[in-house]
Amino acid sequence: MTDEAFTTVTHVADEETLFRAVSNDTRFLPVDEQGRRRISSMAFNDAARRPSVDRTILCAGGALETRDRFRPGSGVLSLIAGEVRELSAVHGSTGRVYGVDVEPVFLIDNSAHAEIFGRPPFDTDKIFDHIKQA
Amino acid sequence: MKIGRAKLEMLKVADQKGRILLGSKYAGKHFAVREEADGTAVLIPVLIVPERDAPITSRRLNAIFAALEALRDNWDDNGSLAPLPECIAYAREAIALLQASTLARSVQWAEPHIGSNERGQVTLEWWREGRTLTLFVRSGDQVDYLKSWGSNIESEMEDGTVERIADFIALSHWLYHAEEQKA
Repeated sequence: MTDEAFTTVTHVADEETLFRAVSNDTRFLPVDEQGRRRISSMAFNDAARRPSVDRTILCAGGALETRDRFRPGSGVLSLIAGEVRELSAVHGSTGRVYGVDVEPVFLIDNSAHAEIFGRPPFDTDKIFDHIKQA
Repeated sequence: MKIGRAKLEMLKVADQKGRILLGSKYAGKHFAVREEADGTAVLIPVLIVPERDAPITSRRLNAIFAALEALRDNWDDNGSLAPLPECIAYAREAIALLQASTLARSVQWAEPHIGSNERGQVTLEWWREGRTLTLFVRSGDQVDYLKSWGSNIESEMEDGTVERIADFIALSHWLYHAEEQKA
């Protein structure tokens, strides 16, 4: 493997697009009172506070690959890694600053899998709520 | 009889028709008059809800929350806990109370999008144009809010705790009348 290829595999570049699969269900993608489709914060629920995404650069089949891997018929949201990394949140009482990053987390059945996580890890409900809202 | 200065400032005199003026901050509010045995009259703020806009009945609430109560751990395939029963119960109470309160004050009410986060806390979400209001029922006695009008966490989001009905009324005003507040 070349150095460039190794870096591509082990590092998510800022310009990379990330796919987040979301069930095509009104719980996650509700319609507001004005008839507009919205994204509920539930779309980024994650028990470990590390929402999963797929790196499009490693998804030969594009969004359909992500969709079908999660659940046929589900929706796919796209994010830009650099924009995700621009997020930060400050804890109101401790003043601690939380950055946001993305890293590859290879799975046996999904080499495109990556996770959005906090630096330091998101350890409070409020901080993770803000990140999900952003 | 000696009357203290603080009490004197609150002294109101009824006119010939028995009317008293309370000041603009009480405009539009309703009061029950409780007459004590010693002749004292006490004004108690009350909420009056039109019958046609009656708060959600328990049957309707049951229907809204039924889907939530049926969820089990990992209901979203992302490891989320099942919604906590105490959060569901508190959310149910809160919605009925908030709806009644907004209607009584002629503040706009829309049914929230009811959901749950990864910790089993109940979420109530509202959207209006570019604004989002989310209430988090974190336990049987704590409700937090997060309002956002953009994706910048520092400059376009604000969070806090909802402790009184007045807190929610202020949030509703922000959600539905932000344009008026700017103008």
